[in-house]
Amino acid sequence: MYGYAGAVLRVDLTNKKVIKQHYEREWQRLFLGGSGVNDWILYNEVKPKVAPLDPENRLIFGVGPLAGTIFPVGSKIKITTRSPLTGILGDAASGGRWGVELKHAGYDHIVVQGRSEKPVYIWIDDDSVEIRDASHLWGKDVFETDDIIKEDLGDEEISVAAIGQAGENLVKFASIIVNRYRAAGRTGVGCVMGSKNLKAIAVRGTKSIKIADPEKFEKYCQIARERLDPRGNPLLETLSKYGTIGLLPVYNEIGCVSVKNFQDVTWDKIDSFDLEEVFLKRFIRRSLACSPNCLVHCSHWWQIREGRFAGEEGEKPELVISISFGPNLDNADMASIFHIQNLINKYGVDSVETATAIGIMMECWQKGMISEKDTDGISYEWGNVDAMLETIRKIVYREGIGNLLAEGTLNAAKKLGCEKFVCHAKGMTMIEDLRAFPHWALNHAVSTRGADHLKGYSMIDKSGRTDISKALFGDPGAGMAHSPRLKGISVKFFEEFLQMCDALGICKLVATRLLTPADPKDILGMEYFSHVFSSATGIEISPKEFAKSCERIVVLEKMFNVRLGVRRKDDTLGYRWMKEPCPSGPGKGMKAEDYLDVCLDEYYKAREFDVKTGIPTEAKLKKLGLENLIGDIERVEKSDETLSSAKKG
Amino acid sequence: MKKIIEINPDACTGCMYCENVCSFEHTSEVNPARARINIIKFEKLGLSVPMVCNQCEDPPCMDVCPTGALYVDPATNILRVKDALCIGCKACMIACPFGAVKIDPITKKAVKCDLCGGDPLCVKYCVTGALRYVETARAFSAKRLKKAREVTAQLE
Repeated sequence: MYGYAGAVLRVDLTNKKVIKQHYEREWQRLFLGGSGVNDWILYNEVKPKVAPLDPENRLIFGVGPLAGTIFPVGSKIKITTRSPLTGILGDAASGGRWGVELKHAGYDHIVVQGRSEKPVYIWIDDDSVEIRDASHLWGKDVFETDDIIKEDLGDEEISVAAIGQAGENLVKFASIIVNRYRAAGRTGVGCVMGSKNLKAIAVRGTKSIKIADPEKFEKYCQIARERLDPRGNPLLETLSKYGTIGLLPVYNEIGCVSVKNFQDVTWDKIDSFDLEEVFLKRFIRRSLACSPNCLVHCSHWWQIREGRFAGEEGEKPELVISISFGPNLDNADMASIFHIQNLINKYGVDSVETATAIGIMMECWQKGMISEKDTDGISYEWGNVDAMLETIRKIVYREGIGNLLAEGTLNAAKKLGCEKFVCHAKGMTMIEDLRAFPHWALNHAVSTRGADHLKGYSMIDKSGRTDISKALFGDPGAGMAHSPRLKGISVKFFEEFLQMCDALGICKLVATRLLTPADPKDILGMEYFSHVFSSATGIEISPKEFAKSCERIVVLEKMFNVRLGVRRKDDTLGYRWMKEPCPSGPGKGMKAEDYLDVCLDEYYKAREFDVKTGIPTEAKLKKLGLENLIGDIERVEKSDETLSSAKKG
Repeated sequence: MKKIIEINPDACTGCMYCENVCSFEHTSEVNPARARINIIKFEKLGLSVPMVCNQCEDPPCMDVCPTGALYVDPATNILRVKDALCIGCKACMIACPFGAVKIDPITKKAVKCDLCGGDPLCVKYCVTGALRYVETARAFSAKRLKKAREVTAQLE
């Protein structure tokens, strides 16, 4: 098989059975691979009655057909499950080289089901797959687990994906950490792994990834290489030099940084995170690529040289964790961000959800709603690093107040009586403010995994690229940051483009750069990617059919949630985002309730969904070849296997 | 003048693109196990070290080869493998002090860096300059310069 490794590995932990399945050609044409095929397996095998922590829930790893080839964009994996945090679709992506190693071992997907009685890990060494005892690993953090597995197997070059203590203790937003430093962070994929008593998956592979038409493929790669070579390229310079954190000053200026749990959106202490004087000079040792084939290398190796964390070193941090534990908690001590980055990776817990959980505690403290007797003695002043460190530990070990916060920020807030403080969608929080940016507000509201930009963020609104908008849609609207104009259509478009990246197994941060060149006539969109896909895999598919496959995956994700009872009323945002006016910045005064409905109407129309309910129409499902799914909505509604009845895991 | 691939691990991002394009160029497949250059990752140190044939002046691999399969191409001065003569005995692998000679898992013949005949692709696509193709006499001059600067700074 070309592009793909050609096999799906099935591991049943209850019965200790391992099966290798041939990779269905039809799946590749309809769902491309990676996230798409993950979603298809999830839809078919995880019915609404299967609760997230039920052994029958699946934990599905997927690597797309372009990962580990020579396509010059970083290789990503996607992990898909039913989320214990939100009860709906859960997925998380990660860099690292684990996924590519998996393809070299001969597999594109791993589907884990069942629950082992005792802790185990899976060892994949090309054709040999073993389920091994992990009792000596239980209780260890991710770094220790990585060390011990490599020592046990006697090979330092093995790639390991593991959970830390957070996953073991079923923290609802536990992550899976890949190659020590790369996180599949969101939606609690690590909690599902922990519920299966699966500590880690170690991989070593030596097989080839074959290319269907090497000459043609190389030609398409050369086009991307020219665009993505960071040497002397002003569009990539910031990303290559600073990583995504390079966006922080811009985000602060345009007012989309959470300050003190979204009570403000511009931070007065931004200079304490100065990119040159603080970030680069005090901490950064060298540039790193997070995953194979990335020429842009937006990650870093860092060392803390002085202060209480002196001597510590590690990889990253990027924009989201820096906002989460920086301005969001009014913490101007940048060294602590680096230290927390390592903690988060060792424990295996989502940085955003952890930080928003601490954020509501600090806001409650500020407003006199809680005192030391409610907090196990922790004093939650803004910027108190010790309070953050202690809370992270308590969450991971589910101790005292941490046991409540480990259920997720929204769930904890309901108990604390501060639900209005939580900036979320469908029960998951996010850290960028979006009130002044209708594209982002809509994208978060309709995202299939809850509040998150990665399902449909725009590269062109905040940068005012009306020229790209005109070229893509024949209208400048998508490039107008603060206007609701055309946002339904632009969210639909970006959802499909980004889904394509997840399905092909490539980094969307870099791939979207191909979509937004300096001159709109150089746009490399889905048509270009359809040629890359065809030349790599040998699957003849027209650009139109390829685009339809990307749309099909998005609609399939919607259907997974619709089958669980998600409707238009759920495509909304937390109280603060909806009702409280944006406090500062160029979009001061804006709030989502003023425009979200208009955007939703346009979005559902563009999607050909029922505008009232947000359910895909029968006609749409038929057009996408998903007519077999039509009966599912009715069937589920009748049998009451809806979100509320099955959410308790 | 003979040229070599100069490596600078401190500039290596670990993107492994050199490995992948190397195997693709030589075999039309992507597989680090078939690549002539390899990136050794020390994950705990955040360090990646490119390992490739250094084009020895007195190559032990050539000395031990019982069939004369390893030879210096007189036209380019590059140390290469003649596939037809290679019997896959692995003596060259044993002899090479850097582990830079391998047996291809498919062809079962010895493989090593052939500098792509004089325009190495790995160097061409290395965006940070961790790999540079330089004349032996000029190799590692940047390192000397950097050290000289440090020493000078200490004197001041």
